[in-house]
Amino acid sequence: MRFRLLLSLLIIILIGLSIASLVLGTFPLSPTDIVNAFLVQTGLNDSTWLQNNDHIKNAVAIIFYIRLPRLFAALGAGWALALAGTVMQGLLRNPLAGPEILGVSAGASLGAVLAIALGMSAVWEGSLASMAVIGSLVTGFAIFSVGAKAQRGSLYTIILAGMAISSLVNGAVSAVLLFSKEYEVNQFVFWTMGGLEGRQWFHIVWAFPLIALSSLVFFASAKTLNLLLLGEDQAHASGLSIATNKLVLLSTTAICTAMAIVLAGPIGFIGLLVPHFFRMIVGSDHKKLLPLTALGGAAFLTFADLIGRTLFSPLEIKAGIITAMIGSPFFLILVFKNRARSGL
Amino acid sequence: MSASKLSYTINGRTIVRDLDISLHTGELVGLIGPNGAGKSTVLKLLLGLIKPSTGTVLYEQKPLTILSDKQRAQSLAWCAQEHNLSLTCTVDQILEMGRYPHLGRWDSLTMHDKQILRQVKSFVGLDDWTNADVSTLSAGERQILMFARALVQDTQCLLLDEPSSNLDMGTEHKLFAMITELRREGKGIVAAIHNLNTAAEYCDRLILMYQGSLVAEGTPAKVLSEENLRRYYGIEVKVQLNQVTGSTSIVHIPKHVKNQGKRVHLIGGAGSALALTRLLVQAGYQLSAGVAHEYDSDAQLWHNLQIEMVKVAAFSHIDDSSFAQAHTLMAQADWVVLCAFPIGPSNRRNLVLAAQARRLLIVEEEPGFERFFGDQAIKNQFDTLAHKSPVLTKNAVLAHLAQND
Repeated sequence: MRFRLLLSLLIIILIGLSIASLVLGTFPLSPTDIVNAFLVQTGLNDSTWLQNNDHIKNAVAIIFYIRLPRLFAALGAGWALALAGTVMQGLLRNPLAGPEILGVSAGASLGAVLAIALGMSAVWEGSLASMAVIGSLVTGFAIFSVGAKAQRGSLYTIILAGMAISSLVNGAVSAVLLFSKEYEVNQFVFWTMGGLEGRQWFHIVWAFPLIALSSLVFFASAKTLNLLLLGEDQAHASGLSIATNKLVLLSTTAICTAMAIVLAGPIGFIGLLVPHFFRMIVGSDHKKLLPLTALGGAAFLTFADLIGRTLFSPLEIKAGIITAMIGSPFFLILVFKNRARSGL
Repeated sequence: MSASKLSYTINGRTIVRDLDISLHTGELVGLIGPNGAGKSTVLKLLLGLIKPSTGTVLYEQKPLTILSDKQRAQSLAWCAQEHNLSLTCTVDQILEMGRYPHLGRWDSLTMHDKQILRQVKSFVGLDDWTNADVSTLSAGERQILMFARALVQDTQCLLLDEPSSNLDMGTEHKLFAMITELRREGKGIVAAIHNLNTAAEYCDRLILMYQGSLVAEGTPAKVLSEENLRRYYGIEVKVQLNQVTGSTSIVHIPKHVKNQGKRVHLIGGAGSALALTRLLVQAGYQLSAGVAHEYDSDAQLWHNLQIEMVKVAAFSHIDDSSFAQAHTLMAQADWVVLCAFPIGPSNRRNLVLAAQARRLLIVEEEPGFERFFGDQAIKNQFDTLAHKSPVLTKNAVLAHLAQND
């Protein structure tokens, strides 16, 4: 069965990429180093030789404070963005929908940037995540109400509205960053392009529970999303409470997107490309699509980050640039080759 | 199921006005009316898809609004008029969606669900479609599929919005045979139907809507009157009894282009004048005809088109008075056309009639056609005529008339 095969393949790829992410880098580590570092850190091996070995000490520091948080951030953000994209496309029955295109990502960025600029993040760690959620919810519902006003059938109105709001909010992000006292080019690049460097455990601690919760909601809504493919009228006739489900799903995608932004900044193309790719392979059934896109998104971002930081090491290319560079030509090829099949 | 005083107004435009409607178990109600009469809107109101401006819909004496979406979908299924199925999924996946109201969030299909799926598939004839990609189906096949999906919902009531609009004639009748079978099983069905003959043939009761209001309700024979159709559809029709099904049957009468062009008198019989009559009517000629025999197919067409004619009883000889009447009609015509019909003892006087025409055209017989029955005298009589007047094909007759106008 194609679905099972793909799922197993993705899990194997994901494990491979994870190990590679820990091993490869400016400071090379061997798999043995990694095992030893884990043993030392978890206290499973308390031999003094290991604990006093400088190489292992370095390995522990690199793995637990640099590479592991970074890997988790890549996995989590990729997973969350791809899922949010799949659900948005299904919800709006629009293959062009996605958190990046509709401005939900930009809204989350604005929230996060405001939290930094207003000094909230210095007072309370959770303010970054909370403000990102507020930002994405506000933009999400703004676009949703435009789409509701535009009536059904106007597939492009919602996309155009999303793009307009997205530009507006992105402009606001730049403005806030440029005028803030703590202005740093590094920060500016992160919040406009996304990246995975300097990720710390507190980012992960805030984002992962919410991503897990959102994923649960999405997986529970696979049948709902399938039914919506037939159109809202037919879905209603089949016993779906349209308003409730839309509200829940839209809020959840906004929260999920916000968490991806907290982890990796506004990384593009994952929410648009990954769902498309898998829809062409397994079709429109969300029961298959959701797990595949989640794993695929995680793998794609981890891969992009790995390439970005090893290709021209010690120089780093941001993961967002890699996703765009792989994503856009690939997307063009897919769209032109499978125009008929790429529809929802 | 019933609804009373149902109205629906949107943007200041009233789509449905004070509608009372009821549906009983084991009944097929046809919703008819010209385009824009509000048929689809009524179905959507009954389904609760849109909220009525006034009035309530009752299902088993309870307001529809107190039911949850799932409860409602367990009793009421709807099949839309158009389906956007540009999806990449299989026929089975679409059908499975019909079980949604019967399943919880995490439930997968039970044996019972699967059995219903199998039953519906064999009932509708989709057994071989299981893994077909829905995006490859034609519009008609999609319509059948969505009808099947509604059946999978396993409800007491079905609301069908023009279920046969994309179907060929054969499939349309198969579909309505299925609907009749479901009705017999005790389901209540409301269907918006465009084809009035289909509606007349299958429905127990018809509801005729015009500009949002119910204007007639009752048996097909009562609702589909010539008067109603003229008034609400703006067409001239002939309502007759369908000889095969015994149901009411409607035939459209084309509009004559009156008092234009020349007058042509047709002498025909046995269907020989059918095509030419149609061509001449379309070309705007005024027609008269005879002498014809009653129940003859030409005579029936002329009668339906309200063409002035003379006829005698079936199989009887042409009597003197009919002959004289036909002669009078013929005298008023600019041209007389003798069609290629079999000539025998009962209609041989038509040859005598033709011989007295001022300007006669004779329609050439098709190869293998036997024009003469009876004695040699008939053939001689015809040959004399054919010698004097042009013998032409149907199209040539038309061209000849046009040239010599």
